[in-house]
Parts: sequence; C-alpha cells; structure tokens
Amino acid sequence: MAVLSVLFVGRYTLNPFHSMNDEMALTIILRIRLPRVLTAIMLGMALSVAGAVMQAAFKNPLVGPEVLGVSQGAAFGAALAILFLPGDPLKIQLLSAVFGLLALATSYMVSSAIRYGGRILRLVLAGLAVSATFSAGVGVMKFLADPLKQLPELTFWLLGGLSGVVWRNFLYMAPLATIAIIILFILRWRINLLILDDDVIISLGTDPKKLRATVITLAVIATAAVTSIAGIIGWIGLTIPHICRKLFGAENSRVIPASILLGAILMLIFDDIARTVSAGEIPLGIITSLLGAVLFVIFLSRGIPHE
Amino acid sequence: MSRILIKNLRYRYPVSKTDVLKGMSLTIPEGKVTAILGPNGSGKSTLFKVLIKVLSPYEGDIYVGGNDLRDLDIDALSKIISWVPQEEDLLFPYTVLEYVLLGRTPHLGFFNMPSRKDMEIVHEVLMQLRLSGIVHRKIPTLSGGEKKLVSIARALVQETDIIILDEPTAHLDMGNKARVLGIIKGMAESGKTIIFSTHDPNEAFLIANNVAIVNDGKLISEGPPGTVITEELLEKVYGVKVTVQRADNGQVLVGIHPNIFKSL
Repeated sequence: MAVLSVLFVGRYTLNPFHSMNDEMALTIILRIRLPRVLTAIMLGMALSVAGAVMQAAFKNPLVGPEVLGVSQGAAFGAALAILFLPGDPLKIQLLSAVFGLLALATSYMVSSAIRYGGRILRLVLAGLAVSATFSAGVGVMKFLADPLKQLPELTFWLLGGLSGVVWRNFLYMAPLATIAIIILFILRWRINLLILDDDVIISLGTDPKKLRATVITLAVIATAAVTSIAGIIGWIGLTIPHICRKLFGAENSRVIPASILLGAILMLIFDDIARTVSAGEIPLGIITSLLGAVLFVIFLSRGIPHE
Repeated sequence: MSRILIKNLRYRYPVSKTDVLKGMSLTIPEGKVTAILGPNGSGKSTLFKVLIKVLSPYEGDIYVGGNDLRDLDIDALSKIISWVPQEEDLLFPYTVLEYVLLGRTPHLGFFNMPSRKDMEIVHEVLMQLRLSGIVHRKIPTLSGGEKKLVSIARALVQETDIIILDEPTAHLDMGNKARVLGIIKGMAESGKTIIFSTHDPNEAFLIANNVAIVNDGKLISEGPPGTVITEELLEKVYGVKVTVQRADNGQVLVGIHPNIFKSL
C-alpha cells in the first residue's frame, strides 16, 4: 500500500487512475519513482537491521555500523571518485562500497594490535581511530575539491539522499544488501546469544568470536551497499531498533523482522518528505537525522526503565 | 559416564609469566556433588574455565566421561557440561523465558529456531524451580536470588550430565542460599554430576558428597567433607584460626575463631 501510494506522490503529482493511459506518467513511475522507492525500502531495511544486530554484537544499545568506520570509509571512497573519477555515478558507488568494507577490515586488524580492554572495547577503539583517519581524508578531499563543481557534489553526497537514483544504481547494490539482510534474518534467534558473556556462549557450544564476526560483517556489507548509493544517512540504524525494542521486547527474533519492516516504511515516508516538502529537494540525511533524533527521544522518554 | 579426571593440570594466562594451575590432579565422581574450596586466587575459576574450554591450551590431561577434553569440540562439550557463572550482566531486557530458552542452543542447528518441544522443556524446568510465576518478567527487574535461579534454569534446559557452578551462593541471603543449595542437591539426586565452588565450608557439609580443597593452583586434599575439612587444614590454607564443631543435632559448623579479634 505504502509503496503504491508513494509512487504517485512527488514533484509532479500523478493521478493513479489516469496514469495507466498516460505515457509520460508511466515513464516517471517506472524509470524514476520505482527504482527510487525500491532503493529507499532497501536503504531503510539495511540500516535498521544493521543497527539492531550491531547493538547485540557490541552488547551496546548505542552503536551502529558507523562505529567501525564504515560511514567515514564510504564517504572517503565517494570523495575519491568525485574528485578523481568524475562523470560516472556508478564509480562513486563502487569506490564507496569498497572503502566502507576496507574500513571494516582495517578496524579488525587494528583491534588485534591494541593492548587495552576486552575484545569489544578494542574493536570500538580501533573503529574510532579508523573513522577519524578516513574523516581526515574526507577533509583533505574537501580542501582539494574544485569549489564550484566538485565541492557541491561531495557535500550533497555527504548529506545523503536518493535524488537521481536510477535502475542501474539499485541493481548494482541490491543483490549484496539483499543477501546480507536475508542471512541476518535467518540468524535472528542465534544472534540473541551475543548478548551473553563470552564464556557462557562457549559453554552453549558456539564460538562467540566467529558468530560476532559473521554478524558484524553481514551488517557492514548491507550498510556499505546502501551507503554507496545514498550517502551518509544518520540516526536510522540507532532509532529504529530502539523503537522496535520498546514496542515488541528486546528479543531479536522479534526485533530483527520488526526493524526490517519499520525501517522500510519509515524510510519511504522520510524520502517522500525529502522530495515533496519544498520545491527543491531536501537531502534525505537531514530529514532522517532530524526526525530520527526526535523519534528516538520520544520513544526513549516513555515507559519505565528496563522496558 | 560423567566422571571427570584431571591429571597434573597446568595453565598459564597468555600474558602471564607464572602458572595459575600448577599441576592440579583431581577426580570428580559421577552423580555426586563436589564442592571446591579454596582462597581467592587459588585457581577455582580458572579450573572451571579450562573445563568448559574457555581457556586453552593447557598442559596435563583432562578426561570427561572417558573422552580426552582435547578431542571434544565446544559443540560436543556443550551437550555434556553446562556452566553457571558467578555473575551475568544482561544489558538488554530479555524476559526470563527468552533468556532460559537460549540454554537450548546446543540442541539446535545453526540456522534453526527453537521448537515447541524446546519450549516445553523450558516450561518444565521453570516449573521445577518454581519460577513459573516470573516467566514473563524482565531479567534486569529480578532480585539477586531470582537471577541466580534463572541462570541455573538456563543451564538445566541444556540437559547435560555435568553442571559446573561458580560460587552459586555468592551475594545471596540465607533464604536464597538454602534454596539454591537445595536445588543443587536435587540435581545430583536426579543423577547429575555437580561441581560448585564456594567460600563457605558449611555449604560443603550441608550438601556435598565430596570436597576438594585447592590452594595456589594445586589440590591440597580431597574426600568426604567430614574427613577433609579440619581445623588444621583450613588454618593452613586460609592462614587464620578457625573452629570446626559438631552441634548437638549432628550439624558441623565452621567459623573464624573468636580469639583472633582479641589482640586487635
């Protein structure tokens, strides 16, 4: 229903009952709005499920895929492409996905060199360092960018958004994100183990290191895939799982499907707001940060603690 | 076959220069309650973590029910030994039911969800432990005693022959202590092999068939509580004067000797 209705909402309002006979309207729906709607759905699903499982994997309700430097890595990759490989949006997508995953790998390698704290703390510390490094790299790119042509494009990418998404963009990232989301969905009960202490997980016959690495890698793949096309979209990965826990309880066989569904619906609505509220399009990242943060506070300020 | 045989066990933490377990040899009899007594830092928790394969590699030999522990992977071991740690921190507010169900993990395939049968086993154990009334309560809202019982329930639904409990009565009031000790005794009576550590020798007299006193990574003495727990041995191990007395009702009571405070 939501998908059907949003297809007809936009800069050019279309009448659903006349569109089928109108060639122009059909073109807009099939070539511009449908890929965008599907991308928004995929974006919401991927960021929300990644947030939910990262929070379990790090035993910390405040983390998201960005803790391992994925967002900043992806941003650096995109910046590289905008500055040095101009002309093809697919190159931006490809490089940002590659650098997002590279940030994950670097965080893991750096964490094994750190001699402070437990395994989880080491990963978070490594992620902080990797994130800061890539963020400095993005700063350098901004400094080097041509202020008239490249800087606006880079800034717009960093703010995040789905304008200009066509079928090609969607089809390039969809398989990776879909596979990661499906595996995480299948593992939804097993992921519960990660909230236990490592010695208890081992006594239950599961290797916590392997399970955690599997789950984190899948979450990062999903995130990198959608970030490569949409840019930095904040607050979704944090807010949606929290709302779902409030509504359905903390257990992941409920939180994960609920996050996937609610993430898709909310992202569709947010993207609609982004493209319809003003004549020019508002970057989606601004909408998600604003509304995501507001929803976060509303939901967390209700009910009793521990609920 | 759920006897545990430990021969000349040595273990050293990766960054450390000295062994924590310094050639410990110990036999845990089948279907009995074995209490491990020993001062802080004597190696009790380390021994347990070696037994559940959290810590490895070790030197020496450990046989669990006739199998070399080295030949058992954690998956196979999780069907033989279950583990109740001293404290568990749960950050996310899982309900008692959701948490205890995680104990069924060893019996489920990697991609599987728990079935109705798993759920029935969980409800049965919760009923045995008289926890049916708090099935849907959230773990962080439970009292210390309830949390401990819920941890034990999680280990019980694992349906293993051996259960290891690390200081199960720590931080509990007398009523909850009695409840936990009663459950431990009941588990052994139903055929399970129980190993638990404690700082209170009285608990060994109350429920243990077998006591192992360890100190500085070695076994000091092993046997029935009445023969092992003596004033001389406790004084040697803890470095403080104690009294071991038999009350009129036959109960043996162990305590710090009051005289040592007179000179303070």
